[in-house]
Amino acid sequence: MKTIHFRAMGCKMNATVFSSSTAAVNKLNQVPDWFEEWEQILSRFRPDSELSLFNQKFGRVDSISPVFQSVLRTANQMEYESDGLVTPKILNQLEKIGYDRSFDMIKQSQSNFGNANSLRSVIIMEDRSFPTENNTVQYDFGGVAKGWAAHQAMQRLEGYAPTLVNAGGDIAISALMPDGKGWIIKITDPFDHEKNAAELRVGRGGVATSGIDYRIWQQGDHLRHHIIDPRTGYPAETDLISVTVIAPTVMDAEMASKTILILGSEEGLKWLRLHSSFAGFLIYKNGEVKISETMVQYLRWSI
Amino acid sequence: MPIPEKQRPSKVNQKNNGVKYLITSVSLVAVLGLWNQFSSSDQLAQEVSKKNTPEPQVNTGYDLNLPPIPTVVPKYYDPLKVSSNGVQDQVNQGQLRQVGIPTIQPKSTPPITIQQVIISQPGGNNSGSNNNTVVNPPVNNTGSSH
Repeated sequence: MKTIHFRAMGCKMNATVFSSSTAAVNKLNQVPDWFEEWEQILSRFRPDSELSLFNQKFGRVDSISPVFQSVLRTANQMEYESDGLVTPKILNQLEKIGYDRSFDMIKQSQSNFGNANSLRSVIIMEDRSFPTENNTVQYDFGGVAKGWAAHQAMQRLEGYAPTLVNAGGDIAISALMPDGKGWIIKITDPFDHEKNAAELRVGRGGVATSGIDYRIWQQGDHLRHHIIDPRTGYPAETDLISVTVIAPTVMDAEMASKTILILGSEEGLKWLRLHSSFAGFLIYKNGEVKISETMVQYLRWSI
Repeated sequence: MPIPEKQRPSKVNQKNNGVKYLITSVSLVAVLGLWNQFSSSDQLAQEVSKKNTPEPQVNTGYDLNLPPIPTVVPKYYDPLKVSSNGVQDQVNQGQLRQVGIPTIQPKSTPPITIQQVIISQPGGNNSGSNNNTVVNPPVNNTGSSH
């Protein structure tokens, strides 16, 4: 077994392959290079990336690379499956609320989410005029790119041995571990990032978490987070602080977790019940936890 | 010409024939009467026997106890002779298996073996590709992207 850790796309990454063969290790060592290559294409924080050029021309480009095309197709699929709630066409609004540079460069605002509805009480939706489809729509691949990259890397490694690729919490798993057990996945406690809220055992599939406990910042008098509700054009008003989903693929998990977070607990649980292939772990802002029935089989313990 | 003595019908014989008929008739009546009497006694005995015999319980459709096909039933296993490992001792009693007793399949317990497990450290090398026990499995965290 060999694991590598690195940083890419503004997040901590790691990849593990259960093999010590030279070929597998050599392939594993290439993972950071793959991510660098993909980030150069997909990052909106790099002025010379393909995405930046795409946005500068509002999509009026002669051609796009296969990687860009694949991610764009994945993003469009997510938009379709989430009924438009998870869309890449939100760059304008992200920049409008202050997310106009890498998050590492944004001073993270400190907030105490221990109080119920703390975020809801801060954010005031003074302007709900979100631009609809027009010629100025720009794209942000955000979580889509991380999930897509984790899935791609996992697929390139899975031929050697059971593989796991973790791209900032978006986890792609190729198969059970050699002992026939699932991989151990711990859900970070959104109220205390040094602790865990639950432990899962997951085999082939994907795991992703969407939360508003980390990428938050202050804009004037307003506390902002990066999960945009396209219905309003502003950070989603939700009673949830973190949603973790297990799905057949990490892209599905990313789409589902973000959809449920935007919908809120009541509508989110209804949506989850309609998608029996997903398992959800919902943490409320007041600390309450709810899980879907399908999550029970993966759950080892929880708070 | 006089009729010969032997050819002349005899009056005695004619009288004897009447007696014969009478005896035959009486005998026939006696036989039939006695037969009837004995047969009535058997029927009475059967009725008495029926009264003393308990009625068999009526089986429901769920409790059919059909005899097994002799050529396919396994040997009889005594349900009381169960060894300590839960497997019945196979004893050939020369009898058919009771249908109500399910056959317990013998369990095959694989021999316990000790596997040597070597997990390589990052940068290390091992050739234990056949080992399938994971010691210190990797732990991954999912949460808001950091």
